[in-house]
Amino acid sequence: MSGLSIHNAGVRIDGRWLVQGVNFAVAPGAVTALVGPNGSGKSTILRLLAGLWEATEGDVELDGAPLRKMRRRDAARRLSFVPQDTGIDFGFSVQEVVEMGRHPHRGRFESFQENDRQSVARALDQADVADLAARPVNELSGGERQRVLIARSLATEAGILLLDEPTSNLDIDHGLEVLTLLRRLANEGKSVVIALHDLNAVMRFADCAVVLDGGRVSSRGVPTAVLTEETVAAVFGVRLERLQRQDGSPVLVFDRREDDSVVGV
Amino acid sequence: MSQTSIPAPPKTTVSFWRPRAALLYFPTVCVLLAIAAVAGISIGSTYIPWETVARVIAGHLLPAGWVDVNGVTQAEQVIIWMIRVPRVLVAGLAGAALAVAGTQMQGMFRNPLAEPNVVGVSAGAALGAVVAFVTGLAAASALWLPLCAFVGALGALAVVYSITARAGRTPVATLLLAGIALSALLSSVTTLLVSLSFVDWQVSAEIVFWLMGGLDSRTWTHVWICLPFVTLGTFVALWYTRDLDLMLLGEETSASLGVNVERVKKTVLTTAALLTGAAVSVSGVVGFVGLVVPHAIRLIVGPSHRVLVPASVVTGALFMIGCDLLARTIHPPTEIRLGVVTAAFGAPFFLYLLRQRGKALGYL
Repeated sequence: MSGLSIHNAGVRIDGRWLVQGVNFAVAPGAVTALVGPNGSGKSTILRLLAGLWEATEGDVELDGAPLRKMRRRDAARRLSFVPQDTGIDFGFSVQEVVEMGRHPHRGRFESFQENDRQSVARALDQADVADLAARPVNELSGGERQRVLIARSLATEAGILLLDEPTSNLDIDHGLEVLTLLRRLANEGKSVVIALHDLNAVMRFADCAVVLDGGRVSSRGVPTAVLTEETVAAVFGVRLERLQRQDGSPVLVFDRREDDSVVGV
Repeated sequence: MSQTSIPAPPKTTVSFWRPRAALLYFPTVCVLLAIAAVAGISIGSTYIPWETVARVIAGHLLPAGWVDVNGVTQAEQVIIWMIRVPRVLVAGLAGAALAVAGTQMQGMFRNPLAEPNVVGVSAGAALGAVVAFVTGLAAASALWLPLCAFVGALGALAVVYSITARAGRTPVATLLLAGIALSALLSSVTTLLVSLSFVDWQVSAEIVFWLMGGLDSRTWTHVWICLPFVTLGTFVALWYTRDLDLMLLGEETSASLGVNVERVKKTVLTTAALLTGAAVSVSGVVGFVGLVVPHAIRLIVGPSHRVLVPASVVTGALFMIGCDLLARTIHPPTEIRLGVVTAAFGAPFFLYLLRQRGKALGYL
């Protein structure tokens, strides 16, 4: 089976299961969103899928072979992980950062080849950061930096992109910009997996939602079908109300029941 | 897919000036290094003209008969070849070693203010050397002191690493904290040994002077002791330059790009310990070189280790030879200890950097 899939996987650290019995396949050419409250296992599953952590039980398979037996560099050519933005303290230029994405393709002292240059140029273009190429990366805004990190991922030419809350440090405009970019990449054939808190963004940008609750998958499927009042109430403990925008697309609004009197609902 | 063309970078950007700065940097520093080396051999209690220096060195390096060394006194020949040349070489090697070790540590810790001592390596080397003095081993053979310094450096690293390692991972923050704690412990043991050694004034004076760093009465033996380690360490550092660049983006990012993060960490730490041990064993404790030199170079040539590591070699050598020259000539006939000179330059610069960083982060 091609693509990335996770089979009955669990991770136990210090006797506590962070995730357990997780099963799903990453849909090719689609945006899959991992949703769930803090501590529900979104980041853990992303790290399992990226091969950064090994499952205590179960397995992650990439193109039919267990990821744990694969050489890091081989895996790095096929899937790419963008962690939550931690900032970069050193003044590499954007061009240099994106060129680092070619690492898994290059021998230790191999110089930059024509195909490396093409991949980097394409990645800069796709992530819309070509005009920033010469700027030092530590002087960019949060949205720009996130796009640069995505460009670095694209330069690996990996077909699968894994991103841990790519919009968490961004304002509304930059957040939408990054999600639109990911949507476009999926339309162009990439498989994208993102951990995301914003359920409205999930409804709008994702093809598939995987809802996590206490380290287990509670439901998954098309976001509009999965994010029901019952599921949201059970997993997040909040009341969901579905409104409609003028174009007919749904908008979710949330309330904490006990706070109603405080905010005057 | 649209046709891509990257616009030529405007001239104010890093992509424009950084390669040019690097291109200018190496010739400039190499010329300065040659001048400093010749000055370091010419200048001293007896001044020897640079032509004589050049002739004597050429006479030793080139086949016999090629260079006419008639007219150079026996005393001058001995001063140049047996005293000052090894001293300048040891200074250069130790400076290069400390600067490369500092560059590696700063890259690995993703912190431009890290240096070899943060994992306790210098403190371990110092303790090892002091043990060699106190036990009398150092007086027995010239090889014991370096050996003990190496054992101390690698031993300190082994302790810090094994405390930190957990399930095959070594979080760098824990590594730092363990290093600081072990440094304090080792320093207190060193101080204890020094205070106990005061029953024998000569031994204690030797130790105290050594702890302040210095290159007096270095011989060719010292050159041969540290040369292999400095060469090996520099080659390893060059081997891992791209991995270190990637490590600057964060451990998870570099791992996801195919870097074996734990292996890089282990190699970098061991190399830094070897380099620091090599430097400390021949020059005593000389502070701030590993901190200041890499940081200063980075401001000019940028953060890429491919440039940074070779630049550290030449700049570290230049800095140390220059400081040693000052240490000998500021207040003749007394030599000022080398550690005092490097700190006198290093500390104010370090404070300046802190101030700048503080401003950038908005807390000063």
